[in-house]
Amino acid sequence: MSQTTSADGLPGLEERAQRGPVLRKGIGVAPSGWFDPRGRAIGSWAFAANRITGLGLVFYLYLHLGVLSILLVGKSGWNDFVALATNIVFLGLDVLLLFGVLFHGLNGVRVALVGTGIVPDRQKALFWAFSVIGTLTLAYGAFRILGRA
Amino acid sequence: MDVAPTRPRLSKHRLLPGGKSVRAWRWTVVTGAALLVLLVVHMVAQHFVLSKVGGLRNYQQVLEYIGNPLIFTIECFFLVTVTAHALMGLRSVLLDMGFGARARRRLDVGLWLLGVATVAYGFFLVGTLASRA
Repeated sequence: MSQTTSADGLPGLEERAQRGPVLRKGIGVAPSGWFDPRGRAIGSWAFAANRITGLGLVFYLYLHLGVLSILLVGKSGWNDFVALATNIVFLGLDVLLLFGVLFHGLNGVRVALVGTGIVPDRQKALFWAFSVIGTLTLAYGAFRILGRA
Repeated sequence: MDVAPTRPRLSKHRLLPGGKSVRAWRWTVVTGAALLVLLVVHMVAQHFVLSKVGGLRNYQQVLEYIGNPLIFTIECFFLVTVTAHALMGLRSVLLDMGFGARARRRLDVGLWLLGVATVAYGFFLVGTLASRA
């Protein structure tokens, strides 16, 4: 995707380049919506990704409850499902789920630390620190999930 | 040296634009913090201590797991917390669509009903399984 520049008329780009806390640089939600982080700071990208992973996790919560209902049927129904769910495609989806959980969880910690004022004005440093932690955890989790497939 | 301007403190019950509130945001943070612990316990106890492929339990192992009173209690707390967090997050996304006051009240009623139904079904599910253990 090409880099959006100030020629596109997005407001606040000059302010964002200035040094200082992000509170001074508020440029509001893009006219195209919160899910469009083009040409915006990393925080907007993280906000959009946080919501997308959050919506994905809400979907997964209900999918999970639906799948667990197979347990009510009894032994054979559940053990057939486990046989299906341990094939490589389902395990790959488990890794995707782990990514969603890690991103949403770690980003949530970052937002809570900044938003409650415990660690104000360090959201970028936290973003990159949590990115490293998340990537390492995802790699370990993927190894554990797929390693025995 | 410049001093960063501080935000004015918001009162607990003050409504933010679009029907959001500081109180709802705080509950999202509190349930989110609880989920950090509950989700890790759920994932590790449920899937990561198994040496089976994919970390999935067979039927008998599921019954043994949920039949443990401590696990049962933790899973019930997890269910309530995750449902509340999920539906508050969904509410926050939906409120960005700019509903009027009446539609917002309907949304709140709908989400409460959905949340209560979700938790009730979850309790029925784990209760039934625990009784079979």
